[in-house]
Amino acid sequence: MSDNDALSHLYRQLPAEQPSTRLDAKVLAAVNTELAASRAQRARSQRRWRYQVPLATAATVVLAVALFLRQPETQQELLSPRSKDGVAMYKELAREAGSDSAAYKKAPSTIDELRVMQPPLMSAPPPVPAPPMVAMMDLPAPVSSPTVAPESTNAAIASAEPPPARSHVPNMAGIARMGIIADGALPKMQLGALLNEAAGMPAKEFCERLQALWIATDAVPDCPTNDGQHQWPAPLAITWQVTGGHVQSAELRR
Amino acid sequence: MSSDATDEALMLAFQGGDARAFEQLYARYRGTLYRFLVRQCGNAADGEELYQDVWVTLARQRERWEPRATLKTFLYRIAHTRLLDHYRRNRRHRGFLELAEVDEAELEDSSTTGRAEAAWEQAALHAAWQHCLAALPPPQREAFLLREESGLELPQLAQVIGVAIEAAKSRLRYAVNKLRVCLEGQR
Repeated sequence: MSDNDALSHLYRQLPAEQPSTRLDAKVLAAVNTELAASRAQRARSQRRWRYQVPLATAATVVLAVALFLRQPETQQELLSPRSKDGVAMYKELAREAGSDSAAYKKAPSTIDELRVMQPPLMSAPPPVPAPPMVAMMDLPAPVSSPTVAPESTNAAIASAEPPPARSHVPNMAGIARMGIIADGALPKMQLGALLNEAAGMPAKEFCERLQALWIATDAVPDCPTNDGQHQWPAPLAITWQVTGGHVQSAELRR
Repeated sequence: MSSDATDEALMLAFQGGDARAFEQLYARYRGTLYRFLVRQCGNAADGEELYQDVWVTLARQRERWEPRATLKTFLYRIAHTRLLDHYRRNRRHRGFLELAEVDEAELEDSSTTGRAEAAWEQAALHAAWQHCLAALPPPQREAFLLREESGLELPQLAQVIGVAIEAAKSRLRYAVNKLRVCLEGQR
């Protein structure tokens, strides 16, 4: 028998101590506690992956899609009176013109009414070109001043007929004070309404209403009524097609 | 799970949260691990504290165990690490912390001190072993107890205590020689 084996044999004769039952119970309890804690932590982790992460992902996707879709919609709103802001603007405009005016009385209460009704600013006979911005700002009450026909300034001055006390022509100074004209929102809104009902309109009437919307300081462009395609420069960058003296189509150049 | 399941199968089940698998593993190793730690520490109080700590550590680190390593090696590796921590807290066992720099001459002196004159008899065997094991330098005592209690082969034993196989073999040889001399001196 080698030294190793003899020593091992001798070692085996030692009493084989065992942990007490109390120590066993302590160890098993500690390990069970550890297991329960890790199970709870795993459950928390799984809950997070099951609910919170998919929800956050879905919210991010919806937000991104909404932002993407919102962009062209905003551009469209600038060209047509389809928003609640358009209704409010309309009412404000009519109030400026006078609380007893027909425009105020006919003011739409919903966006749908505004969409179908004739824009009041365009129905003023005869169409009046807007004065230059600088002039508008200087005049305290431009609405009550004599209006000037676009065709013949001298003739209008010579006739010297007093204008109506209250006109349904927009109070451009008031509009300018409101800051509407400044960013071009109102003419674009009116232009959008005009474009919507342009098809089938007599070419002359269409062009006169376009002239009424001309707010630039440059001279108002001519009004061609012959058949063919016509277009105006910016800011009213319109192209329209006339056939048989009537507008066949009109659109805004982009 | 059946009682003849391998350690590794039981450990895999324990990793999945099976508490009964752990109880079977515990039953297999409770005695050997307990004796290893108590005899290595030299007193029951420290040994029992380490014993409990080793099992809780095994439960906490069960995810780190991989089937390619035997469970026995993993378990005794944890025990070895806990022993190192224990000796760090109790600085008197300098030799155990300096595993690669054991002063053999000094150990030779320590192994021959305190010989008792008690006769070799069954009643005194336990006391003699306690005395001789305590006289061994901790690294040699650990190597000897690991071989006797765990039944690990030399390569696994070297892996547990973190040394080369030759170093583990050397420690075992020194431990056996000193124990033999010590025990003969106890007769």
